[in-house]
Amino acid sequence: MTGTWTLLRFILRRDRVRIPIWILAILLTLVGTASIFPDTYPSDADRQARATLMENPAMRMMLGPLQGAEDYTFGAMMTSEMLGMMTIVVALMSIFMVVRHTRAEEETGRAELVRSSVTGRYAGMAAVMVAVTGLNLLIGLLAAVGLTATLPELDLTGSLIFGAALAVTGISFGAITLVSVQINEFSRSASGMAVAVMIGTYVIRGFGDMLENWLMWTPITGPVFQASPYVENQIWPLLVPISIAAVLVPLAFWLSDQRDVAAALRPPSPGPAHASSSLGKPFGMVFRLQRGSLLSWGAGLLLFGMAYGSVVNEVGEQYADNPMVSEYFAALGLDVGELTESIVAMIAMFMALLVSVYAVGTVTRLRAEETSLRAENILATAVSRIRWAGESMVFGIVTSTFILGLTGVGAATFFALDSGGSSDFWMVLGAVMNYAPAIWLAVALAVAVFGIIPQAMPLAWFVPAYGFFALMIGPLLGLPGWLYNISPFEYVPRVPSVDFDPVPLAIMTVIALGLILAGLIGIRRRDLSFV
Amino acid sequence: MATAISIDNLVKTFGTVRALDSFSMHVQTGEVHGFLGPNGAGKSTAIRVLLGLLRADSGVVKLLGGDPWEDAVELHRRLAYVPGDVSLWPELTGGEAIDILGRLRGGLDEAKRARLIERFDLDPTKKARTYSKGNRQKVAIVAALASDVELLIMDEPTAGLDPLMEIIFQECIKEEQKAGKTILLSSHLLYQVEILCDRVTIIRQGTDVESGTLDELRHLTRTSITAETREDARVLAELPGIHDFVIEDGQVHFDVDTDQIDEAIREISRLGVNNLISRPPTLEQLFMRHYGEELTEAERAPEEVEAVR
Repeated sequence: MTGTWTLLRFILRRDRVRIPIWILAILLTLVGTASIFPDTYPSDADRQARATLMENPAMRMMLGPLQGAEDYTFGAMMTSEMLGMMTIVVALMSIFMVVRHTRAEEETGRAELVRSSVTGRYAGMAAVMVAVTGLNLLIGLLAAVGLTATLPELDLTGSLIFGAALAVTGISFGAITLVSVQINEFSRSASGMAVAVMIGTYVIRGFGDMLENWLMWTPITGPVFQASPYVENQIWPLLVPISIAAVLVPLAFWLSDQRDVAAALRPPSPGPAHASSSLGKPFGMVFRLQRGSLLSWGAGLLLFGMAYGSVVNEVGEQYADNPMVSEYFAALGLDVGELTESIVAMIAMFMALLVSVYAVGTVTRLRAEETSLRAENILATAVSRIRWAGESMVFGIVTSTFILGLTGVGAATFFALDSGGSSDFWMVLGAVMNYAPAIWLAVALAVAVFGIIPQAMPLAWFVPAYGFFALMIGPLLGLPGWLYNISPFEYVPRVPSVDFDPVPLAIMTVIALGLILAGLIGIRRRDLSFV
Repeated sequence: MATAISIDNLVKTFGTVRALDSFSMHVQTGEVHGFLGPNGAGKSTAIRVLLGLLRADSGVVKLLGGDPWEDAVELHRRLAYVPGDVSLWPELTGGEAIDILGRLRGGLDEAKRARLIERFDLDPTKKARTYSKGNRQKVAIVAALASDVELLIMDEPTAGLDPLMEIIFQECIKEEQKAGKTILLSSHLLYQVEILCDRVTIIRQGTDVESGTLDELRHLTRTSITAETREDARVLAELPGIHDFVIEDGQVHFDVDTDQIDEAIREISRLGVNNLISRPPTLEQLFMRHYGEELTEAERAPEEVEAVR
């Protein structure tokens, strides 16, 4: 382990910008959310109404179990509504940090340099585990202090358990990732495996919480939720993730001895020596490079649609007379009188936003191809820039529309099965497909950014990012109307809550065509970047 | 059609940086043309303008009789390019990448592809993410050489190859030249250019500083002389056109400008010659003169003064 201390300082030096950003983002989210509680829920009745709203299977799946519903204090709110999301954030932070300082280093060959100097075999792994553990403990502590300082209702004991819950989650996922980087040869597959473990266990835990059976104890997040900060204040469930980390870290050390530097336990398999005939034909290359993303997004969103479709009716009945729900839906421009229809409209918008993330990704990929110099190979052959960019764009538009349809069919089928009316199938499918032009507009904006201001490629994420903000956080903050109107998704009529109107959809399609045209002209005219 | 590439007074700026400043280069059809310059001199930028990947600010650029920007797609059917830094798709195998690049150019000679893979000892079933820089370079070289094209543009193609592979590469280039192909070969390795090239253009800080056959360029440079004389050789240091004058262990070393060599030999024979070695200028020296002169002279100056004293 010689050199651990030096490597640790090196890690902190390299992440001296990333670490403060993660800490600040997490703290501001927690403290910011807590600070708006008193204004949002001034009376006991308001808080209890909120508890009623949260009491549904989909929320249990996504956010974790509803805790302290009988007396829904601000603390109970924090635990029921924020803990789930924050565990995902700290888990991702820890996964990326461990991969960046282990497998990514080996992949680039930098680890070889370090290993050839006076450093022990385990020094790199030990250093990154110390860094990840320290960072998570710091975040946990700052969160506890920040929360209890923000609201007197958030007592110190509860806040400390809340912080500890976050810390052990991050540390455990750091340990899981340390094992994953032994198994996988590439940082992408290493973080992919760790993230898959995170999502998989989160979903299994979600089913446990939905059905209220023993699966709710699925680690890592299951026991973390059972610690129940502010409500039950149990410290012992947190021992489960800690024990898992305590087993996994030595396991990772041992596994690292079973392999060479830069190699993996899972050997890479050889591929074809010749390209299949589809490669080199139009769309062959795009399809080949993006089929993995298409498949995983398609499958994920189909499941998502089915899950939502099956709970809409139940949720609608449950909240028929809830004033908080009415207010939330009214803020989103939904007809409060028709609750089920409003829920369908909201879920359709949410699913469409997810599809738009996929859609924008198909175009931002072009920029990555360009700056990684892979585009240079293609554009030095007899492929025009328009064809090169156009194939990705058309692929993005067609496949995102297809995925939107798939999600819609999943939701519509399960909703109709549940409600027993075949007309309901078309109502839900229509509500979802209604968002197709908004997704095209998101793709078109990405094409325009790529063609005209490629240096500012992250701007392409504006449509999905702002759409999520307006949908999820906007009503909570009580945003003024014009702030909603920045998002193209706000111009889509909320079918079936309100009547279908083709005019805004047609206008959006025309704007999309204009942006695409401008983008393609830009791509034809500009220099390629070689950074 | 005798000129494959003609560039006249090409200017290309990136922001405030003038990457190419009134750069000119002419490549005849059927020749192997060396494009020499240190890293950052503008070789890659010039090549990317030729490929229509960058747009010229001003100047006249002709490639195979067409405009590299306007006629990019048509011209690219007739040429193959090997980038200096080959970046491949990590999820595709080397074999797949070769086929894709070849097909997009308009076709690939299967037999030649197989032969080249054998010669370069490349495993085409490996995913590109597992390839070293040299192997990625081999992929681009095989894809280029197996394509049926009339012009090869290669930007430092051997940068990652080991010496054995470099010899194979040289053999391949000679074969392509015999087959009548035009080749533009950029390099900062002088011996490679000496072995392969008919003519050379030297670029420095975005401007072409010399152009011609290797013989023509040697006229512009100096001959190295080492001699042992019976009488004191110090008087030679006063002659015009003498550089880097050193007396060491009774021997005198100096470089002399080629147009002053007659005078220098006359003087040295007057001193009584025991021993004389004259070396033709290597391309290294030619290169040093263009890129290293200020630096070298500045470094050598004190040493030289001391030696003369």
